[in-house]
Amino acid sequence: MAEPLTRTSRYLLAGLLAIAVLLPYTVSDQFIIRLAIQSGIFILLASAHNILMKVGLLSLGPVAFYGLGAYVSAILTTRYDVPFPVAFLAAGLAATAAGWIIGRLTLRLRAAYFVLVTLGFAECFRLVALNWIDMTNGPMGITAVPPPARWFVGYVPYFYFILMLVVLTMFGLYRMEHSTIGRAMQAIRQNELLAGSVGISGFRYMLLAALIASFIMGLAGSFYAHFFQFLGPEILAFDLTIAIVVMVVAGGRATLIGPVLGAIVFTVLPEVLRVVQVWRMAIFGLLLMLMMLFMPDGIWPALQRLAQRCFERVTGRRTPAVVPSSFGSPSEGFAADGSRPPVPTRVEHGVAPTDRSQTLLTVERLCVHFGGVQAVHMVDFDVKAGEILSIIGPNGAGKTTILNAITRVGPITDGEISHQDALLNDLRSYEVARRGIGRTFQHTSLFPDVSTRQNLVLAHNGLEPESLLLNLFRTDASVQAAQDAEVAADRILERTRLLPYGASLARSLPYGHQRVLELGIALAARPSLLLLDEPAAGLNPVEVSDLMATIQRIRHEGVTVVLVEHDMKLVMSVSDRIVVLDHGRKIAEGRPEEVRTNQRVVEAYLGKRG
Amino acid sequence: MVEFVQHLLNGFLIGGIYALMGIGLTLIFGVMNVVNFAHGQFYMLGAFVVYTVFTLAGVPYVLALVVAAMAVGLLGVITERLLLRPIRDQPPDVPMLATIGLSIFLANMALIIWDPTPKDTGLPFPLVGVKVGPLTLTPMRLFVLVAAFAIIAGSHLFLQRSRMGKAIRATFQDREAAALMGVDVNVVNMVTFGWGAAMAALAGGLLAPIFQVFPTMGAIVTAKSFAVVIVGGLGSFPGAILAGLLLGIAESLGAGYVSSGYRDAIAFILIIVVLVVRPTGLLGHETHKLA
Repeated sequence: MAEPLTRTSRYLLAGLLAIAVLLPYTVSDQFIIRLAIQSGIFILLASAHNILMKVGLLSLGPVAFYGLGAYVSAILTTRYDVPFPVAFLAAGLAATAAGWIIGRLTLRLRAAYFVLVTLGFAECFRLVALNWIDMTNGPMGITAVPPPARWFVGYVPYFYFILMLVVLTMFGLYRMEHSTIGRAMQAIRQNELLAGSVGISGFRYMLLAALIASFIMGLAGSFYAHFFQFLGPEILAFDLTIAIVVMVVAGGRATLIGPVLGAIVFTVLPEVLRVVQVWRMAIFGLLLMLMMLFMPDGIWPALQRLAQRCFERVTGRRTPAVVPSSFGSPSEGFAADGSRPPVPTRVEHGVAPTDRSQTLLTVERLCVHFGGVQAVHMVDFDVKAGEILSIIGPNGAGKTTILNAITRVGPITDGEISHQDALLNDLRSYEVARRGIGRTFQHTSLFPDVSTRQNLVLAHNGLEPESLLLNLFRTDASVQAAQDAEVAADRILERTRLLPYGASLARSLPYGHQRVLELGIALAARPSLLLLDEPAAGLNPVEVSDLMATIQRIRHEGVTVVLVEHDMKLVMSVSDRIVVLDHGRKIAEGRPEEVRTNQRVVEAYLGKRG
Repeated sequence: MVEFVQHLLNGFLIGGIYALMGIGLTLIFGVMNVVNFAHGQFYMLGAFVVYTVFTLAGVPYVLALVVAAMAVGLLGVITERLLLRPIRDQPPDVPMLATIGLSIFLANMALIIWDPTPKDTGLPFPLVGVKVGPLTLTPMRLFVLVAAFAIIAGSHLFLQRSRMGKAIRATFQDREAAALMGVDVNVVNMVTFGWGAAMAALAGGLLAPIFQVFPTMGAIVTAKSFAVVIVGGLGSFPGAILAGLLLGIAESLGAGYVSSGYRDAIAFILIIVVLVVRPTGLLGHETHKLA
């Protein structure tokens, strides 16, 4: 993990960089240098836009930040004679500020809503640039934007400037991808709900992504204005947004190389298509449709699959179905020399108080109403440290609703839930997880498109602090965090007997193994209280008895367990106490043998006699 | 006062057209979970078919409208079958980008076929003023108003009464349950998309004699349709009607009294304000679709 670059890709990278640096000396055609500079701008834009894709967001507003940066820089230098370096930085910061404001307003929205609200902001920016004539000169545009310095003559200085920006950006993004931030972002993109349950705040990482992206876009905008020395509202056109999005998606979204590839291809392609004149844009649209039909994840992943197939044919070996990582070398997998890190013997879980008289969690007068439906009404119970408490009841009794209320995934209408004297009502799900409350979900919930092992790494990573600087400069702490996650993942693989499947894609695991992996994910977040939502559903009898043993072992390691389950054999044999719900109300509570003979419980399950 | 009512009436007329656009878009989203970026291009094509059939070929206007609806509706059916169905199970941005590709393709094909100069279709009805109290209406505008609301009412009846309409509503509610109950979801998708496209074409065809027709007119209409759908609540039929009228009236009054430069901004500001304040729209309450 610490050194994910293989030797081959290092040489490759050095070679590419050398070609780029020497380009102005080997190509005499100025048109090509100009095209390279334009590619550079688009590499910045596409890579920045891709950061949002990394957290699973599709935005249609990149031009708002690009345009804002360009206008800030152009207006500062032409109207107020601000020197370029200051204006350049101001452009980045202004865009970041806009990103922060817009992000705070919109990042709770998802999917189509987020897409359309970002489009709305970009169009409003464009209309302001078009109509605020006193400031922006409207459709006439700002002319005579000065070059960055007097010695910026010809294309060559601009070329090196943008090359420097691109190299710095790519280096930063590469570092980010292989840091706790990169892992948290991967978790959010794969499954935001599950990420929250292991302590990762979707909103905060999305905001971080928006800040970084808008900063880079603002700088790119400033460069654009000073390179072309003219700035009009076309920089905010929807067509440009489409171009950026197409570059990212066609190149390969959420990969490091994809957007770079996409930016170069789609800067050069329209120039090539100039030959076909009027058909150019129609062909472009057609290509976009065909690409969505036949290569929806993009060029770079397709190339990687092709390379892997060639490799297999040549060597006659089959490589396990691991996800292609952005640099071609699987970032998961064991250390380079093939050895596995030693399995530590220390207890992984937060040390929980095992004194059973101590109350860990209290639920008081909990009500959850959906419109007129009282899904849960006036329910009280508490969970004692170190016990296994089961919540049972017929379908629709409100069991899952209670788990959702405790973990703050679902709403609370009234009542209080407290954990070790702290109120959970006002927390968000990731904060609940960070207090040591873990959970599994009724319907299988994994990080589907990464390996089994990476699922556990991502989950273990959830409790890490969200510091950008810490990760960019690869401090000892961040390296240590990565190693800890690897070690913990191996330990859980071993304990859950999933070791043979470590490299398989989580989505390709058999159902029974997926349920075990879910339990492993919850454990990787080191809970002291674990809520299990129907873990035995769909398991065969052998798997159920395995599960029974696992639950008991977890408890012996000091973890308190709340179990929602329909399998009565399982419930009766592992539970210390049982809470029975019916139609959202608590109808009984007690030891298994008390509950079994309780008249109201029998009626709830079997109906009233005669 | 008379001027105000005149603006209001104009707003109502444009609003009816926005509602036609919005209904199609909102149903396509509700049933297929696709944000259709080509919706404004269907509007543009409807206008061009009317121009070709009515103005160039001399076919009666109402018949030209029917031809436009059928031709563009068929294009919608083909689009669903060939473009959207194969990528239905991909993440939602894949179909969205596919419709963006379609939108670019259609706009530029129109540019090649009909060239970029704006066209006048000519008036299908005599240009006389019809006095309604102190207000003046042309027969053309009256026809647009009546036709738009007749089409909306017809769509409502189709959805509520017909077997197909019931299947569409069932799929809208719960795609899997509908499929399990024997609804052919593929046919529902095809009908919904084709029908939405046909309604957009009718909207374009109805406005063609009032405004000019040109190949790039679709994009801004797409954006306004989005505004209608967002304000009304994604997937809400009555919401789309209400929001369409609201947007039409707001634009008409805004352009009349505030500034025409910012008229097109109203739609986008509405999108932002509604989504930030009440993400489910005016009449929408399907919060689960937020996820």
